[in-house]
Parts: sequence; C-alpha cells; structure tokens
Amino acid sequence: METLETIVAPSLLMGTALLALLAVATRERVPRALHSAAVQAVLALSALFALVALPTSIGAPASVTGLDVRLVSTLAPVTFGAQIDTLSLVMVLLVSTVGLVVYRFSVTYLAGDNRRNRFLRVLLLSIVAVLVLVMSPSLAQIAISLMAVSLGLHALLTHNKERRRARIAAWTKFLISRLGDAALITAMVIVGSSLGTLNLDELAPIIEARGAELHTPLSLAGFALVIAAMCKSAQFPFHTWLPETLETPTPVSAFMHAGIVNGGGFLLLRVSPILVEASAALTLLVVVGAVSAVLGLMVQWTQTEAKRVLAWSTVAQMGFMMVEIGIGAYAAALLHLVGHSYYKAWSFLRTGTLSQVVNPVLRDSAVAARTALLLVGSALAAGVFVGAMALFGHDVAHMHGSWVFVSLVALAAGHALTLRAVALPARVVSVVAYASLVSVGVLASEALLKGALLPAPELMERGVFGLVLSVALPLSLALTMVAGMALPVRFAAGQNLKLYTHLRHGLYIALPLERFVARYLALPGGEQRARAAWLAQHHVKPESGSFTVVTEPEPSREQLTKESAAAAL
Amino acid sequence: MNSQTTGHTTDATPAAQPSASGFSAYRDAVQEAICQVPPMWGLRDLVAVNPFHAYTKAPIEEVARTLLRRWNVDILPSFTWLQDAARREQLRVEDLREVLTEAGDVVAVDADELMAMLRRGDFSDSEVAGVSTIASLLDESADTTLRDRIVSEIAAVCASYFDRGVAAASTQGVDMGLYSWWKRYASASRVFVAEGLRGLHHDMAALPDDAEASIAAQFLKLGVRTYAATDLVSALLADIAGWAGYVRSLTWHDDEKRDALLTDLVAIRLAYEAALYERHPHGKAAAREMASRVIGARGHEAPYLRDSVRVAAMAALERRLVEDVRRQFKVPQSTPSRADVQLVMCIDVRSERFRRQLEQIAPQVKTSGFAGFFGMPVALSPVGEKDPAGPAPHLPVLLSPPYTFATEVEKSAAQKAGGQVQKVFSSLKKSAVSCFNYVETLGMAYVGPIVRDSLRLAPTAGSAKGKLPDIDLSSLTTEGGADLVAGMVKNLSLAAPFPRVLVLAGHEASTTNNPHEGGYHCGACAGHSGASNARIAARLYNDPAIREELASRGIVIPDDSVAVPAIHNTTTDALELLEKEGFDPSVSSILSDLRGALEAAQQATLNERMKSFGADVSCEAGEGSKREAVRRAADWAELRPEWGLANNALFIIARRERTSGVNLDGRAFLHDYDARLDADGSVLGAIMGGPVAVGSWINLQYYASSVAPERLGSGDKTLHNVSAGIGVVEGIDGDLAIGLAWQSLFDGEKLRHEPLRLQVIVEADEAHVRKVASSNPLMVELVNNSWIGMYALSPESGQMVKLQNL
Repeated sequence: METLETIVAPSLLMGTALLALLAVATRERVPRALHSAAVQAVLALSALFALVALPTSIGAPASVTGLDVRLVSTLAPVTFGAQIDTLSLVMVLLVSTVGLVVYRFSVTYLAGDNRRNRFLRVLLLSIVAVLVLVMSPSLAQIAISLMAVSLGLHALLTHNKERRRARIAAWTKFLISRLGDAALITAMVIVGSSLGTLNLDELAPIIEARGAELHTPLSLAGFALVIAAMCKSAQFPFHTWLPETLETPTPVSAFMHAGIVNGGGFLLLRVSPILVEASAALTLLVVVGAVSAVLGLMVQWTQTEAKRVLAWSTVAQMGFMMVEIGIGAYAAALLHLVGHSYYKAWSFLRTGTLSQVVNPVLRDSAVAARTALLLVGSALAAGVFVGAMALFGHDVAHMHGSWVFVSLVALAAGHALTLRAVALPARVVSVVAYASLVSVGVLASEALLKGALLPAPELMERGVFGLVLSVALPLSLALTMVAGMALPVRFAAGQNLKLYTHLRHGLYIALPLERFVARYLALPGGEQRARAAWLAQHHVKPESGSFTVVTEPEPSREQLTKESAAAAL
Repeated sequence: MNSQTTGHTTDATPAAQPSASGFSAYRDAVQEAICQVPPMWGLRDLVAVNPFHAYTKAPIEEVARTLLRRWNVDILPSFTWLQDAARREQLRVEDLREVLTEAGDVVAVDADELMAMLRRGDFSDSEVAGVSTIASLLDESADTTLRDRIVSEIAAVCASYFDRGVAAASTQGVDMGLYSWWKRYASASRVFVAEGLRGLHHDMAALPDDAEASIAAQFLKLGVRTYAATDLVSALLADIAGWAGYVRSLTWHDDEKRDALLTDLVAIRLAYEAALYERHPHGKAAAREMASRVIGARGHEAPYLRDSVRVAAMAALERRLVEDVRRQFKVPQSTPSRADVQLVMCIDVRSERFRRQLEQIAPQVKTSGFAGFFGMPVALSPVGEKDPAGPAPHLPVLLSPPYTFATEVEKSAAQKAGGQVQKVFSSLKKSAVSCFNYVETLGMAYVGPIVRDSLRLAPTAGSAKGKLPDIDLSSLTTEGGADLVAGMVKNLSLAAPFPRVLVLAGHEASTTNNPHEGGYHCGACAGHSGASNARIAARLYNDPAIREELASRGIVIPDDSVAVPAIHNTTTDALELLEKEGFDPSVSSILSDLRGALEAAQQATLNERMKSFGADVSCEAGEGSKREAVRRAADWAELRPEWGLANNALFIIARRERTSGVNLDGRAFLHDYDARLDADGSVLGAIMGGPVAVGSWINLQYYASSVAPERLGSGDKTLHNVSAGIGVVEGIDGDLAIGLAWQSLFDGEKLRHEPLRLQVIVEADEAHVRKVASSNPLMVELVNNSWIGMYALSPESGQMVKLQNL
C-alpha cells in the first residue's frame, strides 16, 4: 500500500526520533509538565497512526523505508529503518500504548525520588529501543535494538542500586541477555553467509526458491534463533532472571512483563520464513515452552507475594506462547502476546490493590469428581469449538497444530465445568460461551495475519518425535490441570510438603547463576556508600547494616571532659 | 528496666552447662523477649503501633541504649536534623536553658555553649552497633547473604501458613504447629547449597520435634547463659520483626497462643544460628566474635553524653511548640447554650483544620472531638465472606470487641448473577492452562481498565458514594445499647445541653491502589472507615426504646434531638451526611444549611492544606486545590494521597472554646473535656486510658519511622510487594515491612514529620490532672520516663504547669 510507505512509516520513524530527542533533552530547560505531556502526546499519536494504518496493512506486502548500508562486501546492503506490515503495526500499537501508560504512571509514582529524571529518561529510551526493535527491517537492526533494550533495562533494574539484591538480579539478567545476543549474532552470521542478506523482507523469496539446498544452515540458524528467543522471553532454563527482577519500581516490572519480555516471541514471528526450514528447532521450542509453562504454573501456585505470582505467571504464559509458535499457530501466538501484555501491564500496576491480589481459592477436595468433570467439560468444549469454527467456514483439521491446539482450548474451557461452587447451568453456559469466545479470537487473529507469515511444518509430520509430542503435550497439560486441583488440597492437608518446598524455591534453578553473580559481579560495598549519601541528603542518619563499627566514635576534646562529668552523675 | 542488669554472655565453648531442666531455665528470658515484640496488624486492620510499647517502663535514654544493643537501632533524632533545627533558629537557646535546668544539667555544659556547638555542627551521627547474630557476622566477613536467606525462608514459611489468599496453593489452615510445618520445610529446602552449605537440611531434620526442647538444645550448643538469652532472643526476633509482630497482633487477646507461636518463631530463627555454628567453616569463630562484641557493648551502660544532648535538644523543640500554642489559647467565657448543630469528629489531627474552618464559616455550629469509633466496641463480619483472621474489628485494636454484627450489602438479582460469572472467570484466570487461553482471548479487554485507571475515569470510592451495608444489630439488647449511648453521652459531655442535631462524623480516606489504605482510615476503628461506627452510634442514639431505658437511668434525651451519621473523607476533606431523608422539616432545613457550610469548609480546608502539600506541589486556592486533592485520591500511581497524621505533636484535652480559632496546623489531637463536669475524674481517666494512649502510639509510630527509617520504617513504596495479603515486603521477598514508608514521611525535600514526642495538655487544675494520671499506670510510665509530656492548664488562670514524677 502506498500510504504505508509514504505516510505511516515516516511518521512512525519521526515519532520515534522525537521521543529519543525528548529523552535526551535536558529537563531543566523544559518545564516538567510540558515535557511529560509532549512525551505522552507523541506516544499517543504513534499508537493512533499504527491503529489507523492497521486495516490497510492486512494482506498487503511489507513496506520498507530506511537506509541501506553495505556492511560486508558479500552481503546485500542491510537496511536500517522501518518495515511496516501487520506484525510491526500491531507491535507498535502495543508498545506505544503500554509505554504511554507506564510512562504516565511513573511520572506520578516516582514523585519525590531525586533520581526520577534519570529514571524517566532511561525508561523513555527503552521504549524507543523497543519501538525501533519492532519496526526492524533487518536482523541487524533487531540485534542492535535488542541489545539497547537490554542495556536500558539494566539501568532501570539498578535504579535502587543501593540494594544488593537489585544488582544481583540485574547482573543475572545481563548475563542471560548476553547469551541471547551471542545466539542472535550466530544466527546472523549463518543467515548472512548462506542467504547473502540480513533483510527480513528478502528472506521469504530466497527460502521459497532454494529452501531445500539451504536446509542445514537454516536449521542451525533456527536453533540459534530459538536459543536467543529463550533468553529474551525467559524460557527454561534461562527464565531465572524474570522472577528475580522485582527489586525495582513497579512500572519497570509492568514495562518488562508487557513489553520487553515479548522480544523473543516477536523475534521468532519475524523470522518465521527461516523456521519453515527449521522444524527441529521448532520442536525444541515446543518442548522448552511446555516445560516453562508447566514449571511456571506450578511454581506460581506456591508464591505468596503478589508480584512474584505475576512474574512466574509470565514465565508460564511465555512458555505457552512458545508452544503456539512451535506448533505453527502464529496468529494465536500474536494474539496471545498482545493480550498477555495488556493483562500483565494492568495487573502489575494494580498490585497495590488488595482486592486485586487477594483471591482465596475454594479448596474442593473431590479431585476425582472434578477430573471427571474436566473430561466431560473438555469434550463439550472441543465440540463447541470445532463447531463454531466450522460455522465460520473454518475446518479445524487444516489449522496449524490443529489437534494440539483444539485439545488445549478444550481443556481450558472444560475447566469451567469443574467449579462446583457455581450452579451447574451457569457452568455449562460458561463452557460453551468460553469455547465460542476463543474461536472468535482465533478467527479474528487469523484474519489479521492472513498470509503474512509462512506456515510452519505440522507438528505431527515432524517424524516420530513430533507424533509423540502431539500426544504428550496435551496429556501433560491435562495432568497439570489435575495437579492444579489436587495440590492446594494436599498442601493444606500437610501432604507433599517436600514438593511444596521445592516449588516455592522455583526448584533452585536460579541458584548457581545467582551465586556466581553475587560472588563476582554484584559485590557488596557500593550500597553502604550509596545509602549513606542518599540518607544524608534526606536529613536522616545512616544506619549500618553491619557491625564493624564498635559503638561510639572518638569523642571530641570538650566532650571528653563532659563525658567524665556525666559518668560521675 | 532489668535489661540494665542483664548482660549477655555467649561463650563459644560451653564452659558451664546450663541446668539439665532444659527449656525451663530459659523460659523467663524467652518469655520476656516475646512480650516485648511490637505487634504489627495486617493490612486489613492496619493501625499505628508504638514499636517501643513494651519498653516504656524505662526512661527513653535508657531504652535508646537497650535497643541499640538489641535491635541495632538508634531511636533518638539524628544530630543532622537537630543541628539543622539549631541553624534555622527553630531550636532556641532559651528553651535549651530551661530544659537543661529542669533536667539537672545532665550535659555539664551551659546552654549557650551547647547551642554554639549545635550550630557549628560539632556533633556527628555515629554508626550503630549492637548484638550481632552469627548470620550477620558471617555475611560481613565473607560477602554472603546468609541473613537475607534465613529471613526469606522464615518469611516464606509464615506467609504460606497465614496466607489470606495470594497463593493458589498454600499451607494456610494446615493441621500442625508453625514450628512443625517449618521443620518439614527446612528439612526439604536445599536453598543453602547456594551459600556453600550442603546438608544443612539434614541438621534441620535432626532437630527435636518440640520447639521448647529445640530452643534449650540450641542454647546449650551455643553456650548461651540464661541471663544473656533475652538480649539474644530479642535480636533474633528483630530480624523477623514483621512476622513476629503479625503473630503478636493475631494473638493480642490470647496469651497462650501468643506464647506458643512466638516460641515457635524463636526456635525457628535460633535453629539457623545453631546450624551455622555447626556447619559453616567459620561458624565457631563467628560465635566467639559475637560473644566478644556483646561483652564490649556491656561497658557502655551509662547514658551517653551525646544521647543526653539529643534528648535535651528534642525537649527544647517540644517546649517551643507548647509555648507557642499556650500563648494563643483563648479564655472561654460563654455559658453553654443549646446548639442547633453539634458536629462530633474524631480526635484525629486531620479533623483540626476542618473544624477550625467550619467554625469560622458557620459560627452557629459547635464542633467537638471524640474517639472516632464513638465508643461503639464492635467487630463487623460481612455475610458470605470468610476471613482467616476473623471478623474485622472496628474499635481500638488494644480492646477486644464485645459485639460482633453481621453486615450485608443488598444485591440485585443481576448483581448476584454477575457475581457467579465473575467467579467463573476469576477461576479461569488463575487455573492451569485455562489462564493461557484467558489472556489470549480476553487479555485485549484489559485495555478498558488500563484506560479507565490511567485517565481516572472510575468514580472515587467512599462510603458517601456507594451503597452502605445493612448492619444487623439484633443481637444487641436494649440495656446493652443504652450502656453504649450513656457512655458516649457522658464522655462527650453531651448533656450540656443536648443539641438539636447531633452529627456524628466518622472518617475514612479514599485512596486508589494503596495497600496501606487502612493506615489512612480511622485508627480508632482499627484501620477501617468510621462510617459504620457513626451509623451504629446514630441509630442507637435515635432508638426510642434505648431512650426510654436511658430516661429510667436519669439521662433524658429531648425528643427533638436527633443524631445524623456522617463521614469525613480526609483525602478530599469532603464531609458528607450518610442519611439524607426521613427527617422532620425543621431538621431538614438545619441540615441543608449545614451542607452548604460543609462544602465551604471543605474548600477552605483544602486551600490551606494543599498550599504546602509537597516539594513540587503548590496549588492555588480554589478549584485547583480541590482538583489536586481529588486527583490524589483517585490516581492509581499516587503514593502520597495525603499526609495522614504526619507531624502530629500535641494532644489537647480542653473545652473547644480554649482552642477555637487557633491555627494548630493539623498537628493536634483535640478531645473535648470540661473539668467542671468531671469532679471524680472518671471522664479524664477514660480519655487518658483510651484516646491519649492511642495518640501516643500513633505519635511514637511516626517518631520511630522518622528517626530510624531503615529498621522501624517500611522503606520505599515503589518497591512494595503485597505478601500473603497481610503485609508488604520491599522488593522480591523477605520479612514483612513494619512502620511507615518513606513516602509517608518525606516529600522529596524534607521530613514532613518532626520527630517530637506527644505533648498532652489538659485543661484542669494540676492536682486534678495529677490525681487522674497517677491512677493510670500507663500514664505514669509514659510521663515519668519521658515518652510523652504532660501539662495542666489551669481553667481559671490559664497558667500551665508541666507534670513530672507522677
């Protein structure tokens, strides 16, 4: 479409540049209220542009605007700028709105903090970096902006740098991010050397033309990309940074869980042409995603701190998104990414509301009966879902990862039947309504992404392993659901307490890296100085957490005489 | 206090074996430490707590030294702050001179010289050092995080045990003691492998099954003498002050349960010390170091000179404050005539501004101050909600509620059906696998709440806005109701004479997204809105049967006197009537006049209050200040909806005529009192036993959090993370935070609460005040040990005398 190229792309690029400018502009010259209003206006405009342009982008080819840079002589020129298509517009819309909300929130939230200006500046730069990321026309821009995002995040995570645990968490995240960068750079080298280009819009034609002969390098690139995505989107075993990074103001968590953590998912959707030829990597992704989802859920159930519950839920949710990508359900994955972001942004910002975070679960000890209800409900939901899809002219059998996908929807909706505290008719209505609602969502997202992404190979057609996985995946998630019904009852009855203990600690997976970081990167020491400076500024005496100083300092000369006089009293 | 005489010795090598009787030898020491744990109420019933409540039996300077040793905290105002006050001329030499003379020249320098030293900044704040646990000592020497890990482990065990519904799967309600549950947990947890301590869980598994036996065994292992145990146990409990405090509040009215649960906690914390001693390569060296430091601290038992200086400087600042107020006191003349409207508000310092403004706008309205629960000692239990912590108290937490009433909000059929749907969806959101499709399909719908909250489109909450619950008073007998009303009539001196319209205004604060909401509500109603208490009080006052019963006791309430409940919203200063219909025409017309005056008073109060709200907030008078106040109440990102009771410093028990028109700047609790109607002192006794005690708790809470924010405050609100629905932790996990947050005390540039002790001024003859105060053991303690100041203001001459040595 013409408009995408002539109006939307330049506007979005200009908006992003303006934001960067506002971020580095000295706050002293511009009144705070004006500055903050300008930032919010630009973010709102960029969201508006993305929203308005979105319909025109459906089914249209990507439009690329930017500078071509020749990096290596054997390589086609690499483009830096903006690639505007449905995926990037959806992402721009998401990032602008979440960024706007988080920025606005932070301005008020950090009032009185003498590091607020620095915080807002880094936050804005991070938002800019994510915008640049999601508009990337080339793998090179993706890599560079992902690194910038990570560095911005590091600065936000160390906002309270006097807290050693904040530094430990930040450095853990830093190390895992660098691993992700290494994987991404490896992928770039493989792609560049075998395909001769790093530009995203040129990948699909080349791979369609000579995919078979490039199978090996593309497979390898696929693995590298999957590992990069696992690091960026907190997937097992690289998930440990996410639940740890709560030692920073709430809006950072909101932005991290609603913006930054999507990096991995977005990356994989972006390079979907490569994944067509990398079915083994996709299968690995399914396994990793499923493990993360199950692990995340079970650990989440045992957490008693509101933000930790949310953080572990993100690990699980990202895992589910990876499963969807792995089975080729790209449209559903994008829908999930967007939905999860809004949900999690709001949930984090609302963690101060007691009624929001305290929801006692009814413990229903009839687990066997509920399992039976789950099976009945799932059958009902599967029927409704398949029927609803058929009604809209969609044959489920032709959907990507159809069997796995349908079974997951069925389990999810079927669960409503197990809520025995609710009247049976209401439960049945819920199952039907929920399954139909999911079908509407899936159809809408399929329509949105119509033909934009190359289809992945079917899970069932990926050899024996794929077949086994097709059965094991729904089964393991069904078992997780049963565990979800049984464990609250068992723990409260004093059973399986060892399991409880291990889950409470996230199975200790974070510990080795955390220990390494504490020993070599986040040493104590800085906090004493930083805290003393902070407190002195606030007219409050510093208190030592340690005991190195023995009681009184040396008394002054005149005090000395008075002290003896006082002691005599 | 006996901590002066109990030293502490913890020998690394047990020289003398403690007696074979095991725990019984340590029982008293442990018991003493347990009773000194400051309580901390959960977020639902959040109220101010005096962290020194168990220490007021000793003078403040002495306690400063005890707590330095035990809690590792300095509880006196810093020199930084005091010297700043000296430079700003707020601290004056004449006050200092007076104070030093009174105290008997404890600092052995004259006032001028001391003043010069303070101005020059000769004193500097020192670092704190006290009893050190083995875990802290090891951390210090090896850069480990043992203490944090231990605290996190204990906090996790407690949070799971007491969880109010944050976790989907917890051990809340498990049929075993806290210690047994912890033992199962600690025997399984491998988390200490990260600190290089393999096999620590084996040590935990080998512990005795009984907490008391475990304590005795660990003390024996560490070689702790009985007389040193109290200090050590206090230091260990201070590491987990939040959870220990919650347990203490939970068992406030149940000593047996308190002893059991807190003994469990002592055993738990001590077990880690002993395990480190055994298993850590430097454990034994750390234990020796602990002993030597403790002995080192023993040499400093006499008050430090620097402490005496700081107490004197603080007293001088207090003296200035009291003097300034005294000079403004009015001389009451009028004989009381019947008021058309008497508005009774809570004694809370936040009422002072509003009352003053209203009286100026509507001189015909008489205002009085009374404890905000109006003497209604009730707990409320919403129908259909089961809370692990029981019915919600709506009375000062120190009292046990004799009455529990059920409340119910009427719901339409549609609302009930909506509730069912909500239940299903909330469950889908939280359940395995369902949660994935939930966010996929419905996540986008959260754009709605995001927009609503960002743009503050939701109406502000508050009793005056929503539908009020029905309160079922049927379990209250007529006699019981008459007792309550008679108490209120007497303590408020209402009968002199009964007003035509009695407006009982409870208070609450509308705030958004604020876990510490309770802290802004009425403290006398246990951190809840005062609306229910006001409504109950008004209903009982208006009840014909109760009036009949009262008449038979000689209290005749005129038929035309009617009580109307109201609510004062302290964030927006709106004062709204909670009953608007069903009055006879003359009352209606009085009330409609009153409404206009209340609105004008709201604006006037906001003009005054918002003018100096914070560092970067300066509101112009008029609509601007109202808009800003309403924004603060409704903004989900706002951490300072209001300043709460910050800067409280005075408690004036007097006829309102004495203080009317005096600008007390929201710093004074105001309780109405007419000594002429209280010959036997019973009313004053009740005021001292209730409101003054609570006032001093609030005052010392603010005091503690502003002098020692690191240990006695709850840190940075931006990092707060609700734990178990009971409290907040700072950051990812750890112990529950106690006290007030930074943002509640500090505006970005300066402290908004001056750490001064509560100064109580009673308008009555010295002999009368002395007699009443002396008969109240708590007042004797607080006054004699300088935790509060108390003055008698002669009703005739207006002379004021400071009371000492009760």
